[in-house]
Amino acid sequence: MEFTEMPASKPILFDAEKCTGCNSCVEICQVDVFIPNPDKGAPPVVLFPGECWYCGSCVVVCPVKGAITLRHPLMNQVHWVEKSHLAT
Amino acid sequence: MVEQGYKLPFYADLSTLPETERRVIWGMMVGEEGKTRVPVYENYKNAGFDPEKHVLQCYGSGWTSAAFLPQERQLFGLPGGFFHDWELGTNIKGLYAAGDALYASNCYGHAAATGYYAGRHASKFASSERLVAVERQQSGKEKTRVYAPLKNNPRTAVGWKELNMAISKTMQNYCGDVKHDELLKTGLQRLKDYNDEVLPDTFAYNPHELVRLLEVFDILTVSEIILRSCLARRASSGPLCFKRGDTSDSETQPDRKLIIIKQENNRIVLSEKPLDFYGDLKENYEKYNQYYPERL
Ligand SMILES: Cc1cc2nc3c(=O)[nH]c(=O)nc-3n(C[C@H](O)[C@H](O)[C@H](O)COP(=O)(O)OP(=O)(O)OC[C@H]3O[C@@H](n4cnc5c(N)ncnc54)[C@H](O)[C@@H]3O)c2cc1C
Ligand code: SF4
Ligand code: SF4
Repeated sequence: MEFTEMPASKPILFDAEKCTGCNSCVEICQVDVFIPNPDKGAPPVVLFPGECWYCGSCVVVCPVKGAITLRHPLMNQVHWVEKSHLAT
Repeated sequence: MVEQGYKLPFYADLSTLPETERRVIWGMMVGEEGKTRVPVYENYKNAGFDPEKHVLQCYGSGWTSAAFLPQERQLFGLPGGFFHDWELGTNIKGLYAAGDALYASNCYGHAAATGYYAGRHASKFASSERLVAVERQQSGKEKTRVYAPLKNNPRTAVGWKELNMAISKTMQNYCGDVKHDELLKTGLQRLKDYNDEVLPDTFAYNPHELVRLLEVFDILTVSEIILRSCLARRASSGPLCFKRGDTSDSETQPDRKLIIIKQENNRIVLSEKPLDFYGDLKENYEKYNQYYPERL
């Protein structure tokens, strides 16, 4: 058992296989959600998930496609329907 | 609209737009604007959203993304800002203001234009001044202030979030939609208590939290400025979205003025200027800001 707390949201997910640990995402984040990983080359640490603005800059700047994903909290995930299914 | 018989939920429908317009709105506006490119354009696309056949659910019954509380509306773009002269200089010599720091501002165009304008005057000022040495005593005092929270005891001290929320609640409770002297004064007392009793016993575990804490100290100061300015404005004002519950309408006329608040020798000083203080716009622009480089 770990004596810690599940965060209210998990805005950032890393793919450790793809991430090179270049820390570009750490540098660009305007609110410093991350810190560099003490293990060189490993994905950064998401230290302050509750402060994420969901701007997506970290994903835009990442040089490796799929290394980092921005995930909205469940309550903010938007829904859509096929227009042809709507009653007129 | 709901009252008029429209049925919820509403949907945003791009499917019936001409192809080029849809591509401009979804592909260019949403797809290329900084903060919607990944969170909206890419994430929705990856989750299967197709603007040609899907409609996006809208939440609420109107344009809720801009649904401010009345007291928030008072702060959005309208009423406060640095008092400045025709060069956008403030009362502190050499300090210039631009963008959202000015009153009646709130758009990129205004921020860019005034930034350019203030920057020209600031660089002119700077080029005629001599750099002075850093005052060790002043920077030492500031260092002591900034690092003070690191020395407190985390087991008993207050963190930035708790203080931030307490200030927000104070402002909601005592500086809400309708202003009353009694409420505003109680709010000031709450802020004073936080300043005197809580602020000296705050704690930050790391530089990140320390910066947040310093921002909250600034929020405390700004909140006090707002409360004191509200106390100084005696009558309601439509254009400022400012409502008073304890003065009569007959007092409205004398309140058509700019209220200036500043700190001088540790004292708060209030003064007033008439609304037409800046004079004729065109004439003064020409007088103070002739700047027509040939290449423009
Ligand atoms: C959600 C939203 C949507 C908007 N949409 C539009 C739009 O569609 N069109 C439009 O024209 N306008 C829009 N605006 C308004 C526009 O964004 C602003 O008017 C403009 O960005 C203001 O620019 P600025 O440079 O004056 O201030 P800011 O961009 O706010 O810059 C101020 C900077 O000062 C820094 N700062 C603050 N305190 C300190 C300190 N103590 N020390 C050092 N640095 C500090 C801040 O971190 C920030 O970087 C929108 C605003 C918001 C909030
Ligand atoms: S989405 Fe924006 S605020 Fe959130 S971690 Fe990425 S860069 Fe930082
Ligand atoms: S920018 Fe991409 S590759 Fe670099 S550390 Fe961040 S997620 Fe990893």
